[in-house]
Amino acid sequence: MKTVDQSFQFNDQLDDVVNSLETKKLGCIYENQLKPILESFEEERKSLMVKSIAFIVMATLGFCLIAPNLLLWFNVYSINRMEKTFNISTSLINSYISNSFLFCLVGIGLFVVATIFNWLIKFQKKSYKKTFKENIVKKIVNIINSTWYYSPEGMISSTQYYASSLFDKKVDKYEGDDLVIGQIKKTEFCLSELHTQSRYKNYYYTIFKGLFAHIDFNKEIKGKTFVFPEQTIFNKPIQNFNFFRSKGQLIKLENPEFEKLFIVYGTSQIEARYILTPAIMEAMVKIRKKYKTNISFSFIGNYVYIALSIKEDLFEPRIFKSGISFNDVEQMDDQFRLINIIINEMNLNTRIWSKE
Amino acid sequence: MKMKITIILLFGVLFIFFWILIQYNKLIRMKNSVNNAFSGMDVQLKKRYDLIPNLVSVVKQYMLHEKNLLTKVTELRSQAIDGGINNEEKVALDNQISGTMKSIMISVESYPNLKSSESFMNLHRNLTEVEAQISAARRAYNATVNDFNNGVEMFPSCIIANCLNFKSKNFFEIPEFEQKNVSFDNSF
Repeated sequence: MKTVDQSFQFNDQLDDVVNSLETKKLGCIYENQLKPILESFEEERKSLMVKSIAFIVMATLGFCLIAPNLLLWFNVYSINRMEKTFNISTSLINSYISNSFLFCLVGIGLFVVATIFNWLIKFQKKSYKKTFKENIVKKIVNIINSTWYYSPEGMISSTQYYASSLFDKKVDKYEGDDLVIGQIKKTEFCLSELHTQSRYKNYYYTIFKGLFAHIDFNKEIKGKTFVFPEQTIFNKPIQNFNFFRSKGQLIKLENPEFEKLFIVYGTSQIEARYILTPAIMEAMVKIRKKYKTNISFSFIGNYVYIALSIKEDLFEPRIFKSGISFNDVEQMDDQFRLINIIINEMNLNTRIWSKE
Repeated sequence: MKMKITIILLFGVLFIFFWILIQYNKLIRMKNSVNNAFSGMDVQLKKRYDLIPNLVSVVKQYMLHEKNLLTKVTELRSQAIDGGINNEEKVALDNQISGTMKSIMISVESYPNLKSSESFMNLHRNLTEVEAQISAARRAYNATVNDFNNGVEMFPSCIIANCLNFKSKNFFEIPEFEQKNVSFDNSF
């Protein structure tokens, strides 16, 4: 008879086999379908890269011509006073100042050309991005599941973002793209990249950046349960004072590994445990270890909301680096598979409870 | 000098008084949490008691050879709802009911007609729900017992606990099959 440890080991080995098979399958698709498309994009990417470098050079040159001359003009009065006070000859500086107008004019001209150039590149970049998403990102989504709907410019609505109650700060800038809507067996979901920012004086600072998803939950929930990432080792003693009072009571669970990675708050001790069964806690630990980044969950109404923090822009084409990269494709595939992993690991397709 | 000593003594006595007060309140709060968690579990157990007669009436037409199991679960239910039993007896009875219910569910496997009947499927869904709620309530109870036992056994709060004659409480044993996401549904 197998022990629990042996079962876990067996499951992990099985996961490894499944993962390597999926990587091989993706590798084949990449070689046969995606690589030729990416190769056809290379010419446009290179032209965009050259144009971008030209813009940077022109703008820098323009700045270098304008800035020192402006500095001199603003200090003409001081230079003249220096001449009178210390009896120093500043004729060389003055003769330069009289000619500097020409330099400045050239600088301004370069700046104007650079700005127009940048404006033109912006359109090209936008169309390149659109073609990339339509041809590559959409294909990756279709490889995972052909029934899923993908919209490059769509995003999860702010209503759902606020409904998750995961982030309390007021949002002043709400952006996002790469919306995927689909269903895995009985479980419906919605996933997109989101970037929310709040304004303080003239600066915007990030509240959340990464993948945000809401998935139909398989149990009936009356209250609210939140699973936040454990931020620092100093949090443990602070937890007892319960700074998240608005999120409900602190809930201490039995899984030590889970408790190390997450902190749980909820409106009911029993309901939190009804949701966070030992199996679900194991699944959350597994997901957190796989993505190696902060991940928050909230269980409210009919949904489980998931926020996976990722600093980089997701599913975007690169300009300064070759786009023909299997690693990039694999990373995109991995990020979209978040939904599959969550639904399977958390057994969200199991509909044996009162909710059908 | 005398004045100083008196003030220090007074502060010392006040400190001890407030410390005792805090510890006492903390222990009482923990004890009440345990009772509250137990009553939370009781609510779920009652839901299961309510479902037992329905289960018996649905399965008895099919399960003619398992009459003993059905009689046993009915008797255990009557004992549980009769009252006059303490919490520990209630726990023991509940464990017996869980075991018997599991045996009934395994026996259902031999009756495909029963398994596919709509009334049984609805009942089964409700029972699984209640089992999941009971399991959650047991874990919530265990968490409060853990806090209470820490208060009773750890120094210096154990001094107050001894004075109040508080004793450590037993944890609810969670059967292995309940430690999985799907409770007694494993039989299917």
